[in-house]
Amino acid sequence: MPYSFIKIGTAISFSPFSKLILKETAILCRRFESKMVIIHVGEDNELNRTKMNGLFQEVSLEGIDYELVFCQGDPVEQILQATIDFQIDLLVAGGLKKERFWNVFKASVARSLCRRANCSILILTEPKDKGTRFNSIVVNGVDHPKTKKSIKTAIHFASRMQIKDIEVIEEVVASKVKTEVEDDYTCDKATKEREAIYKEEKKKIDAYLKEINLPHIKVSYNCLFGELGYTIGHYTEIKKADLLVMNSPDKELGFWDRIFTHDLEYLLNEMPTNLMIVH
Amino acid sequence: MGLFGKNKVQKSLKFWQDDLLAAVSVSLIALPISLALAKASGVDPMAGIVSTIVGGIVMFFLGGSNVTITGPGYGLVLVIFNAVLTIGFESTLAAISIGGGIIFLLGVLKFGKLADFFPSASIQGMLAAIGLTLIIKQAHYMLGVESLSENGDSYLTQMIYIPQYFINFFKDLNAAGILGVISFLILVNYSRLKKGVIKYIPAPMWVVLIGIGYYSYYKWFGNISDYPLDKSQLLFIDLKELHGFIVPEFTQLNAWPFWEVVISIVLVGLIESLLSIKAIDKLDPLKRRSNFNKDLRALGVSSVLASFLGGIPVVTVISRSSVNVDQGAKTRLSGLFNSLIIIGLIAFCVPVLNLVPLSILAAILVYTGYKLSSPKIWVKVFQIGWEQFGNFLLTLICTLLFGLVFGILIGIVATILVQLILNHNRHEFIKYLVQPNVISYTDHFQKHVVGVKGVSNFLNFLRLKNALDQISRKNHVILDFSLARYIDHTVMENIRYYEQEFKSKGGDFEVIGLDVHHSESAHPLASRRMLKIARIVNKTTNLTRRQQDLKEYAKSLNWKFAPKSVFELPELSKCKFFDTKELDHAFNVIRGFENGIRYEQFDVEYTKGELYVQEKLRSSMLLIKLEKEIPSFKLDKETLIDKVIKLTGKDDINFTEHEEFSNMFHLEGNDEDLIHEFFTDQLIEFIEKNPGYHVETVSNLILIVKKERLGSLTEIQDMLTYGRGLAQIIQHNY
Repeated sequence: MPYSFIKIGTAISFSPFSKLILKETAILCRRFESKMVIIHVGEDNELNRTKMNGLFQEVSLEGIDYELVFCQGDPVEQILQATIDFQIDLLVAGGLKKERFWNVFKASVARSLCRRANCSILILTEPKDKGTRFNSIVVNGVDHPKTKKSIKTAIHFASRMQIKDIEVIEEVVASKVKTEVEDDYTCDKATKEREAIYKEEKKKIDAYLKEINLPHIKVSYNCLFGELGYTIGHYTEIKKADLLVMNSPDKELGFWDRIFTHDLEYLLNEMPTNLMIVH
Repeated sequence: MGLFGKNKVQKSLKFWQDDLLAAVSVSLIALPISLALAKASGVDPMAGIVSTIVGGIVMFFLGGSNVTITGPGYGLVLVIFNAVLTIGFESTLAAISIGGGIIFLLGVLKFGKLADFFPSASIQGMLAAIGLTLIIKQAHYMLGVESLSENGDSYLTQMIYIPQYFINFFKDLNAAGILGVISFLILVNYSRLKKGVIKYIPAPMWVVLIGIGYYSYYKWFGNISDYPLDKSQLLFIDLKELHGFIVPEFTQLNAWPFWEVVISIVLVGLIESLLSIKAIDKLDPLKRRSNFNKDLRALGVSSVLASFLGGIPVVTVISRSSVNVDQGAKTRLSGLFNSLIIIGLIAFCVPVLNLVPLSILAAILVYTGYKLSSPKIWVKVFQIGWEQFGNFLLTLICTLLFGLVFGILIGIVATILVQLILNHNRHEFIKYLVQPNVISYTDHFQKHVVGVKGVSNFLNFLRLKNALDQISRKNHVILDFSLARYIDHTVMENIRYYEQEFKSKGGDFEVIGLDVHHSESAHPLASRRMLKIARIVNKTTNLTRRQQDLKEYAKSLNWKFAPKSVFELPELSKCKFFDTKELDHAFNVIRGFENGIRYEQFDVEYTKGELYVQEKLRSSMLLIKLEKEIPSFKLDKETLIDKVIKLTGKDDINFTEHEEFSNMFHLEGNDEDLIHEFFTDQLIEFIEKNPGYHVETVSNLILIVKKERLGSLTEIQDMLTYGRGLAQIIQHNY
């Protein structure tokens, strides 16, 4: 399985929220038969170890091959370092749906990880005690080399989690349609242009799907014209999908990207649902 | 396809008869109104005529809308009046040409949509202020008394003089004033007087004819020296004084007053024109969509040309356009005909026109002002919500105090402040100013879904508008507001416009997700906020006397009666009757089945015309749904105008063996052979016996209308008897 997650990592503290995240991670580990790496940013002492073990007892990590890692310093830097050191394939973290206004200046840990991580990352906005039930997935289908991998990962994830409803949503920048609608004539022309783009892009996605060759999973396709990043988020919210799978950003996103929001930043600013970023 | 492409010419010429007939009616209004507007603007009356003529000709070649009429507009009267006083006539012409140039540029840059950027209540306030100023400035002319205002009086102080004008008028009655007052009363009551011959000549022309008739009376039956009006009280057009080509004076380009005039011309011209085009688009009989930017470019060119010929700005005007549609215009050709007819009238009728008393022209303007600022509008805005009313009032007062530009600016700022107060989440309010909040896609059922999130108000409405404009009007659109927290009145009103626009052009438009919102008032267009708990409103209904009668009647037939309003009327809106009218809702529905035929009788409320020539009408109608499809036709009693149309070569369908029937009724339809076959002797005999109904059919529906008012119980019973008879004969024979 080329797109399986061999090691799933998670970073936790002692909060109730972290407990839920740990539970969710455990469920994923069982499904994917992967190893678990638990990262705790804090002092490596007896007290913390007992506390952690107590937590593991509560969550019951039976049958899972896990290791506990302690590191000290800036949480974001340390977690990022750990993902590299332990070759983590998927990092699970919890995040609030909306980022607070003042966090424009100091981003939350989960958001920072999204912006900078070198491995795939799954942000759960509402971790549940019995595990999130994923019913439908929306995957981005934007015209980009990384897209193929994202779709493959999403389909693999769906087949393991027994999700039946996958939708590939291709976002096309609205300005790609050259005709400006002014009356009936231009409106027809623009519609035809959009249809042509739709057909062309659908061909590409169909080719990807053929390559992946998992026929028992039904994948639908739609093409949306609008602002990249924003459109798919809004669509996911309307469709009430449980997971949104996105490509990783091409470069590390910084302060100015938050001020002049674009692409992935729209989703980080206001997460429509659980978000997976594929590296 | 070029400007003179064969197709285009053929298309325009196809309806030349309709266009010519409409143009006759329009020119009869355009002539007096143009004279009045120019006179009130403090320029030569010919300036108004020049704008109308230039507008009609330029729009025919360059325009982007189809059945609109252009010319001098009421909105700019005060702007031009003040401009002539402060910067002089030649400089005003310069301001008009620069303003026209800017409007042209806005069209080139495709900024036509900018007109939607203004809050609706502020626009209403501005229009009401324009109306009030028209009354303030024209009242003493209409009453034939001396003006009391001194230089430097604000409009608010001048308003106080109006009662004094009336007192002076009644103290010392004068002929000009009496003519003015009579004209005003005729204009107000015209829709009630509209019967027989009167309705073929529009009201403004009637009052002008009265003025001319008054003079003729003295000339032919009395002593001309007794004629009580002196020359200064009459219109004066001197064709010899026509300047021809005038070069505007571009010397004040560095002065603020000059630029204030330019900005006012652009602002008001833009708003008045685009509001008119939008309103008329809904009434287009051929269901076309206007190209707003192209129209703006043409308006800009017209204004520049008009200014070089000594004319005032050219804008799209709603009352004349509305008459144009109502009289059956189909293409831009009617505008061109209108210009040509006016050229003819001016060339031959100046001596007659010079007999028109100025008080009558003033009466036309006072009436326009009254329509724009009538108490009805105040009540309507008040019903929408206190915050809208506050804004309306503020814009109105500020426009009167500080002029148009500052009035509307203050209105915008106030709207933003009120919305900030009403929104709990101010951060979101600011966020959605700059961030996108609209998506649009076609779902798997080929329906177009447009989703709106967060705050949707006049500041970011352009995004929603863009999304909606991308969709062909023939499609089914679902507008989803379930993720929106706040929707302001401007958006609600525009949504209403889109709803009507889509429905009138064969598409469908549904708004979903609004049921969880709290609105400021019960009005359907009030702004909405999302609340945590949705309120459930219980409405108790009290039946009126007529409704009780109808209920009893339905019971006697064993049919159902529902007094509640129905807004979804897909079958009814299919009917040709509503092509140039706007269907609002139906109520008092009586419904029943008989031999597989469905009968539905209801009172329908609909509007004709737009804005200040808008008439709200209610009629009782009967809709019959048959089992089979029948040929489409339209049957009316033949009127005088039909006989005139016949002369132009347009014929209705006649039956050689039923001459009387053919003479009595005007029958129109697409497939003549099928209709001949359909109208059996029995059917013709039945229709002949019961004249006075308007009958039309679409697929398997029959619509029967009698009068443009609600029917009494007996009339409703008669109509139903007629409908049942008709349906049974058709069912039996066809």
